[in-house]
Amino acid sequence: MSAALSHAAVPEAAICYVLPRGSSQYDVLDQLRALGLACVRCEPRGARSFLTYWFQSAESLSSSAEADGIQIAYQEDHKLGQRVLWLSAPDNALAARLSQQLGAQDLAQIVASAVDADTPARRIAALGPLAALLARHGELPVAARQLLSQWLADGHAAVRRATLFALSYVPFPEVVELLRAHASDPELSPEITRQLTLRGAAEVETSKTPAEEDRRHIEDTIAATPLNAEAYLHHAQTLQALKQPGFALAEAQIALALARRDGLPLLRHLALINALRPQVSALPAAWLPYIAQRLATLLRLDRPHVVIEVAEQLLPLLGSSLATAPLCVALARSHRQLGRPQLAHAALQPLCAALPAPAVSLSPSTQAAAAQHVDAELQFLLAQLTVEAHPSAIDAALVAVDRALSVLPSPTLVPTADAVQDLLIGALLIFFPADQRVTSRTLRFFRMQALASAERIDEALATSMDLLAEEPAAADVWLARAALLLHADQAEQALHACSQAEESMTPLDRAFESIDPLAILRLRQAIAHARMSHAAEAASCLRAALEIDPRTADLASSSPELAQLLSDSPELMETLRATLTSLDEPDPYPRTYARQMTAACLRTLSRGSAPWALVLDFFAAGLLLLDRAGPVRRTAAGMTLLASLEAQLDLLASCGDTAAHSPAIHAAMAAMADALGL
Amino acid sequence: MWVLRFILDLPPAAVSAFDSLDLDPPQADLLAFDADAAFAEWSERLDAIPELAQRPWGSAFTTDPWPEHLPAELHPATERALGDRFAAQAPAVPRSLTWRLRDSGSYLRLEAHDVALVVQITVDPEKPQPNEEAPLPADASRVLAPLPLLQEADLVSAIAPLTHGDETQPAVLLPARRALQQLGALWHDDLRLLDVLRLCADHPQPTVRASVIAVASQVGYHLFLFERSACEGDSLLLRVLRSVTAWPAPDSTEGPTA
Repeated sequence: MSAALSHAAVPEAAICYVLPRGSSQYDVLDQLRALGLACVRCEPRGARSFLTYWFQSAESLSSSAEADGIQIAYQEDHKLGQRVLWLSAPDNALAARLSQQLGAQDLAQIVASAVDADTPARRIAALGPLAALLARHGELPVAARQLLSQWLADGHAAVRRATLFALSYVPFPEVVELLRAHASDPELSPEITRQLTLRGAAEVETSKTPAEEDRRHIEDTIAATPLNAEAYLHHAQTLQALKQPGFALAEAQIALALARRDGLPLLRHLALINALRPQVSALPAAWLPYIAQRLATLLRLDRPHVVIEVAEQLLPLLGSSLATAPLCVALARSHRQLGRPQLAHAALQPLCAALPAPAVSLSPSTQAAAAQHVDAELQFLLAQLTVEAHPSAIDAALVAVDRALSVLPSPTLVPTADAVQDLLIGALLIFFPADQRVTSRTLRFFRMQALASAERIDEALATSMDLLAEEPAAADVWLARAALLLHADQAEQALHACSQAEESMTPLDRAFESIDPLAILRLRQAIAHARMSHAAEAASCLRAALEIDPRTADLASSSPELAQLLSDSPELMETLRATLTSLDEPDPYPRTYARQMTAACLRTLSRGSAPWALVLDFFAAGLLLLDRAGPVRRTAAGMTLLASLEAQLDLLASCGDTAAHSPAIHAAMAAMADALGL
Repeated sequence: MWVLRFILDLPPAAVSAFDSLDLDPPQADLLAFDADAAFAEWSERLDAIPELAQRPWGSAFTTDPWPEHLPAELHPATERALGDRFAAQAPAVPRSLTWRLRDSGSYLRLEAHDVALVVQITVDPEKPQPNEEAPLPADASRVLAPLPLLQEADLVSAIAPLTHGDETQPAVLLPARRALQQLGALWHDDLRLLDVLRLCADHPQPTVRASVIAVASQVGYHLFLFERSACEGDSLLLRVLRSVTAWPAPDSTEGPTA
């Protein structure tokens, strides 16, 4: 059984009948049409228990506005198994015709025959038409009330239960008394409690306190404008009125930090904070996801200073408990965003030391997987901060990465933050959105880079082989391996790694890196050839690198391997110098700019979504035109490409995909159009 | 608009649990039905029929949601995104996909019910048909002709053994019970089904009464199920009735404010 208290969906009718069994809805519709009525609307049953057809007399339809005529509805209620016909306004002549033609019965007739129901099954069957008519009637007739009261105390449990089910259709206040009178019946009590709650809930709903209403409204405002200092202040004041000083203080601190940076007067914020602080002793556990959500949003909106101020103000209130964890993570990420790895490391390290290691299971539950995943994320963040803050402490970073690798669960097991039962784990998971979560590959790639930076080349090469064993076409790993092999003075193997990288490289690989990986690859080939004294090949690769991405000029000019090559070729040296000079000009390389804008755009889109795939393919086709096509073909094909992309994005947007018209896509399209010379 | 509904009469599923015992060949279970697999298979088959425009839509849409004008070359990602979006299903209604017939503009809908697949043809009587004598547009006839379809008259006559209590042979009752299940799918939105269930409800065989309860439960005839609770004598069926008429969860918020 599902919906109870169905009366709310039923309009009151002026005249109402139930129809006898034996005919189909199509028969009834034909009969109504024969009486001069025209069907004006049909509401299919769908997920509800009702199927409704609305009619009007053909005369009223042709003579005046629809609203002026009497509406006639034919409705089937499948839960009750009843077919009802009703008129929206009294029209006795029409009612008499309908009643006579269709053999319909009104409430008085139904109550009269219900009184005669002499077996439990008949009494239950009589409840169908009774409930269907009472649901649309203006009042509860005494006879009907007596009958319902009597059946609610019937000796047969099925009759009592069916009567209670039927009562959910009956809207009158007297029903509450009936329900209360039978609340002790063990067969009925759970449902009576539920129905009474729902009837009472309707009253609570309408008499909600203004402060609570106000608070919900402000929550909506904050969700829509999360940098609106005034909204946070208003929310804090409302929460204070609702006696929730902990939440109020957090909001007031955010309001203060935002207002300070907006140059707004701070007097009201400070007064409120001073009033709230003495009231805050223990913070409720529900506070954890709440504050994590707030700070994660501010971080995403690039407000690290605000997050730091709020976290530092709130941390002393929490002492040294684990409840500080969301604030510590927010603090660490904010400092890192501001380029302060030491401060970030100092904020995170004590937390990681205090957090107990989660029990590791090969097939954990989703809840256990959430705890393991949070631990892996924190360890990875700690490892990154260790390398950034203390480059010599590579062993500590490797320990953290190894722990992360040992606890990392399958990503499919990790639930969303709001599905995590442990409030602390759920709150921490908020800082690691699903589309940016750490993977085993990321951890091992980081391990390889950390080993390389510590000059532990053999171990780094071994890690690269592990990665390639799982993913033989990983262009980025091949490219990194080429660098490691050059470092190990194995030029020939480095060239082989470059070939593998080039073979595996996709447009997606080229979109996200700061410098085009294809240009890096050419540069590494140039260095390898130079090592092997292949001067011509080295020069050719260097020229290609500079052409693909001029920002490789910086790397080329600082490479000792290429110094000899450059000194032997004045023309190449001149090209390099010119390129280096041009790097200072604003936007000198539309191709690089297009790549950067595309990468920025792809980062904002949901990976694998239709706009993401369209932009990626557009970028790949654009690159192909830039690399291979002459100016004329490039312009013509570029125009076609752009028009096609625009048409498909318009189509997706018209079907509700708002991302299809995002400014980031327009910026990426404009940049590529510029690069193509359109 | 006028509507014709049919049951897609698929072969019964084989009982596989005892395959490995190597006794008798596995028997078909007339009452078993894998709605998900059948719906997936038949929606794929219908999608390949040339008379149907290959852009169906799900039950979340009451009219064809596909844009009238689409770019000539649709990117696979766009096609897939639109296809997924328009295949959306409304909650708590039978899963369905609807195709437009290219020539006549009629619609063909495939509906998945727990116990059967329904094919529905909707024809707009105001659209002129080349052959006014024919009961269906030519393209609809061509699509329907090869399909294994049952009409309501077939099912109503097939359930006759259930409506009089003197028939007790399982070999006769089983196909009739299957027909009742199928009628439950065909008439899931038609209260004539309740009249049919009442005719079969007092059959002396508990298996028949079990089928009645199953169909009534699937289509949501709650009051009728209470009625059956008042007269059912079989303890197992009483337990089933108790379960299908259980109250909603105490914290269910369905009601006046829902």
